[in-house]
Amino acid sequence: MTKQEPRRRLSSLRSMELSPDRQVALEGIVQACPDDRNTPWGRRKPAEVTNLLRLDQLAPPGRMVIRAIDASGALRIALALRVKCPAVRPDGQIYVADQAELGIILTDGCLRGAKDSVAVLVFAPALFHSNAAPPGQLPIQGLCLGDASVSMPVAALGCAELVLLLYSILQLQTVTIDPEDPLRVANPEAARYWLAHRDQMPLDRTPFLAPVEYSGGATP
Amino acid sequence: MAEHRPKLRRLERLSRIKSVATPERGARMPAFLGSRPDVDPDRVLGRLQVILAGAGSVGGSCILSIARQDPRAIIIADPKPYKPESLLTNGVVFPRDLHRWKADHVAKCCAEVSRNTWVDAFAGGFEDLPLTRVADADFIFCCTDRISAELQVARAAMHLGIPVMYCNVEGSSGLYQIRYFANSDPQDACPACNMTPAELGMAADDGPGFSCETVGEEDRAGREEPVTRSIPALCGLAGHMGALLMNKVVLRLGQPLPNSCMVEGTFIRPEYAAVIPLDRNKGCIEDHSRWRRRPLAKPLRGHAIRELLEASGINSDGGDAVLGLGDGFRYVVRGECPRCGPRPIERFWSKRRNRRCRCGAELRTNAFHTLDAVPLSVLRPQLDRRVAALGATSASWALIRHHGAGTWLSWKDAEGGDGS
Repeated sequence: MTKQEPRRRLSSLRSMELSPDRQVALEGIVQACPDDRNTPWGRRKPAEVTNLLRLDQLAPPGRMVIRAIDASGALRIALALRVKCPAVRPDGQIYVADQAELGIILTDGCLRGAKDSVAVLVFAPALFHSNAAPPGQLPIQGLCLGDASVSMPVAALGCAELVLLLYSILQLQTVTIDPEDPLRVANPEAARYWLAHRDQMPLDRTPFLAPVEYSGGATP
Repeated sequence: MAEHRPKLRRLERLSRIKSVATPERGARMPAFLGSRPDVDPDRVLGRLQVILAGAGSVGGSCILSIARQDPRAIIIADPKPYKPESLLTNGVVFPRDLHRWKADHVAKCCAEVSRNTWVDAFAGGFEDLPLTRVADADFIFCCTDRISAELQVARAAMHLGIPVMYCNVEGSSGLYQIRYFANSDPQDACPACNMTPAELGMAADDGPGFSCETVGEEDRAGREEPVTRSIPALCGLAGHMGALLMNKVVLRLGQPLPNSCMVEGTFIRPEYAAVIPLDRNKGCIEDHSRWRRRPLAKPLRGHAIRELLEASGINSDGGDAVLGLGDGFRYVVRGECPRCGPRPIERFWSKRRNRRCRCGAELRTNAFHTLDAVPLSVLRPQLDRRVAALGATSASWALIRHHGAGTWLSWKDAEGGDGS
């Protein structure tokens, strides 16, 4: 009799045990953290990293690849997310990319609920998304968390929850597309485009925990 | 409108003031009750260095009172100018002073009433004061309306172990409040320990908001910042009470002043007064750690990173130490040129200075590749390079953090300059 793999559930995230290799990775990251473990920020960072590694373990192979985690100051995470996201080529052609390379920064301001304590940068592709300024305007595109950041205390969210939120934002499931409200959209042109192409939204309905289909695009 | 960049400015003593007969500091000094034979008030005040954060109606009264006692040095920091309404509450403002920087005006008043005090004016926020100057202070007064500024003062004072006194008023009840934190023990309370979630939320709201927030934009553009709604007598009372209690602390009169909040509400009930002990909140979100201070033998820029590690007692093989430099320097791992693309930088850059690529375009940094604190693992190939060679020619201090402990390294010449 073969042992059946237990069903993946996000609700089990907080209670999951880390695999030995992730446990070793966690210890290395925590070791490099110079903060006093008795301070709230000194405790929060290992907890965030633990949850992120649990999400990585829970996710199907290839859904997310953690490139690097630095907990020496602010918590900085570089990761690749296998997700369908709207992108634009240098010649202006709009296409659906299969993967996003992201940088997440979480500072100790999150303990105080400071609005600037969470930042998400998109290294690739060049997003054509109403929550991201047009490519080239900034050195690296930042992704606005949009209405989610107003209705939810994003600073109080954990990194793992943030990754799930980013997954839905990039898929155009959670997105601001009202071009009449230019202060709330970072790229009005993208907002107008996606408003006119609402039938294509969301780009994908695949849940985060569903198996990943490899069909072109960048490899994880 | 041009950006205002505050500079610390020492006031020159006017010749008119020099010519006035200068009374001795102790000529009107009483024999204080509870005074100690080993504490000479004249000597203590002659060495005392005080910083005031917030030179409004409360802070102005407080520091002028102290200036008359002729301490060694006073630094006054306030980022705002006087408004017409300042005439209603502020005892040291006259119509001719409107629209002048509060820090400049109060510093000038202090320089006039003191005889030997070095007075520095800083028309900027406390958080922008050079930390090397803050570290020299023996006592800090914080008399601002902004909770975020209170927390900035608290952090610097906690890390450097400097006593702080907060003087505030609540006009409608005629209430003044003096909070004192000795900062003698890192396990003691800080102002955030006793703040309500609403107050902490107010501090967070003082910070940068979202640029896309409609309501936030309107707030920043249109709404008036909080103002002191009070009467001059109450503001002056709070300031003078703070100055009085500072004398108790620095002259060590009677029992040591505990970390406490002294409240007196004139209009609540005539007899309402309380002294509330301020205890550490174990769930406080602030970092209470005390930095070890280590003086350097020469300017920071002349030290190699390895020397800084040795000065702080850390083996340079220890991979978990983190280095940060003061005066706005950050370590830039990678910059972006709009024409040439990403470029490795691996140097400390001042956030106040723009850089250009070889092609002439402006190099831009991003938050992900710019580090306030650099782990040794990143700096390892550059351990034997001097701080100046890594780009931080004018940094005056460094902070090395290792296993939860911080070592603060700074250099001072004989005249007190930090080489920055």
